[in-house]
Amino acid sequence: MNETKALKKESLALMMNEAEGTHQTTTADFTELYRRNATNVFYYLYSRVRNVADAEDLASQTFVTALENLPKLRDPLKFTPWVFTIARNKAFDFFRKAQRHPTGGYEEEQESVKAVEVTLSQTDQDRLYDLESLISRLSPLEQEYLRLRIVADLPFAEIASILSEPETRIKKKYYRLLERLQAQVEK
Amino acid sequence: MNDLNPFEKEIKQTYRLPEVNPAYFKQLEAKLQAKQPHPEASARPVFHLARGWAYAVATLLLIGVMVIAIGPSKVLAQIQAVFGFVPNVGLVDTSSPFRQLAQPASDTRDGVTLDIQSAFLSADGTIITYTMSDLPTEIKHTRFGEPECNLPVYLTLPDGSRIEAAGSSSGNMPDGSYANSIRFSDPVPANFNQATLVFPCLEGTVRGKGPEDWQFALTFKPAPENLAVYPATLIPSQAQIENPVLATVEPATQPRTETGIPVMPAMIVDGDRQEEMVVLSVVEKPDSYWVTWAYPDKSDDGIQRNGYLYEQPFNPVLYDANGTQLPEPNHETQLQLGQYEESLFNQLSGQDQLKYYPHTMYTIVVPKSGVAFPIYAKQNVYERSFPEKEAYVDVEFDGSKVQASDEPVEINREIQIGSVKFRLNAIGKNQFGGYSFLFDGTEGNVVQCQAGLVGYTTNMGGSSSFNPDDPFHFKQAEMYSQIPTGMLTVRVSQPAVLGDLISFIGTWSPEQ
Repeated sequence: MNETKALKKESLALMMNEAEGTHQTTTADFTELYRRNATNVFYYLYSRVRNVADAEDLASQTFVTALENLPKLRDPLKFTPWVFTIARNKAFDFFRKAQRHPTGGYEEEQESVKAVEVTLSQTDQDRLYDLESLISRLSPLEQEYLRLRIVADLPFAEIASILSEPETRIKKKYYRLLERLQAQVEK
Repeated sequence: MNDLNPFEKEIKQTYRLPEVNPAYFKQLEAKLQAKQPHPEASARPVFHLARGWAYAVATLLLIGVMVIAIGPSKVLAQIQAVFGFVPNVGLVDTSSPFRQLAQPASDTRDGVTLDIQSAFLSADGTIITYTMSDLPTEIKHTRFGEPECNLPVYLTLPDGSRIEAAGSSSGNMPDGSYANSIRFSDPVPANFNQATLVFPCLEGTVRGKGPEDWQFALTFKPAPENLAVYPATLIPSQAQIENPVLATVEPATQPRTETGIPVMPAMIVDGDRQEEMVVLSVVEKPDSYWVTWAYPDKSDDGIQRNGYLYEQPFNPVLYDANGTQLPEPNHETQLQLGQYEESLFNQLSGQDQLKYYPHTMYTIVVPKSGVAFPIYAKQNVYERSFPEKEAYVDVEFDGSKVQASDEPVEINREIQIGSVKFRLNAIGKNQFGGYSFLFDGTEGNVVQCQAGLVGYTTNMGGSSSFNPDDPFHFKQAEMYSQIPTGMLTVRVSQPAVLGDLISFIGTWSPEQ
């Protein structure tokens, strides 16, 4: 509910500015937009690069780029999908420039693994590893569905906007993907 | 915030998301603030809206329970629908009288005012709408890492029982305030016309700050008889099989002009065989029908990746008896349809939920005028099969050579897995760090296969999308943390063979 409220608030603030003939947000507006989206953008980027330092660096780049290009945002209702599109591009650039791989930061990941292991039974751990393995074998687009929906916590309408696909199609593919994964992990 | 189911929560665990570092976010926020211009407009209050925009926003974002009087719903009684569609509420059970809030309730605490505006009670659930004034800064959740109130609202009944909220949503009202809508899946029994609405804490506040255990005594009364309830008919798939009218759809029947020439839109041809697409539900609105079609989905769980038995490269096509295609609904209506489909899903039998939703279910808007009935829905899909699930073929190649080449390295090797023949044409390096295997499945009608390096664990892979114009040239990519090089072996298995083009066809007219 808070997410929805946040979304409407940001839309409202931006639309108000547009009504006055400018796309510029006020200082308070952008700060609010940043606060509403920062954690999810960070988590999304972390799910891509699997390294806190790199994810923080990319999140910073994302918001700086968003701030600098805010006047170019034609539809103020679409701030969130827009900023995630920037974040995706930053992640692509990251891998392209450094010829790095999406699962870098191995040591850090191992630390996280330990943290999770403490709270899980052996059965749960095995299931988690199986699930992780299955997800790693999904197509890049299918993995993106999961990241945007589950990690970035975006509604289907915004995922549709980011991926330029019809919302209904994404919704269908997503639930179909969940069913398939669940069937495979429970085999 | 998305309401994740237990399996989605498990998936979220696999990402092993770290705790966020509040210091980092504060630093970045300061950096962004330093970079921002400070236009004079910033002094303007955030919630001031020009009147025109206020109406526009209200139109777009209005939520909550809206009770619109449109006159008696005569048709409802005529078709004896068990369900009805109430705008902004969804599909509700009409088997018992609706109730609503007898009078609004309001209270102010710690600088926050809550107005309980409306309630809608049906035999299968309750929706309560309220507004909340802006939260004072000192209780508002603004800092990353601070514990936030996330305890669900609940109702207590006179007998002491408790009903917890199952979901909620929110949006703008015409005056700029926010309305919040809380959904309770369990009904308030008809013998109770009082309940206490309890907010353990307020969403958007820091846990431990702001009002807690805030209670509102509510009284309910019967809803007016002229409430807008659009008749809805749910048709369980089992019933459809037994229903001779619905079961005797002539799939090959195509709309024809008086000259007898088929007027099927050229973009979609008749499949090799036809199967029935069924109507799951119909809602009758004043100027249109919402018709939900479905066909069963199938997949082979023995296939590691993409084991679907139907390839769906096309959107469904909808046309009337004159062969005129029905227009796509506008975006706003599509959003409403999405919400409607979710409420429909909750009303379907478990069997039908598994069979149809949400893969193969489409709700369409059929205008009452300007359309020649019956209408037709057609969804073409390609059937696929996996005749060889265990056998595989290994092919050796020089990974170093592939990684050193800007162009794919030609392999041109025939693959025969059981009776299925296709070719591995070439192998290229993948931009994300790995290999792309380029196949030609023309000989055996192969459109997909599994391909992975023996002895190496991939951590990401994918295949090219199905292209109906060139289905047999496909690509399989595998990425690795450390790109393997030298002499490598790729194992090719589980070819998917393209089968018939199936047309799922359905027909519907209001008389049905």
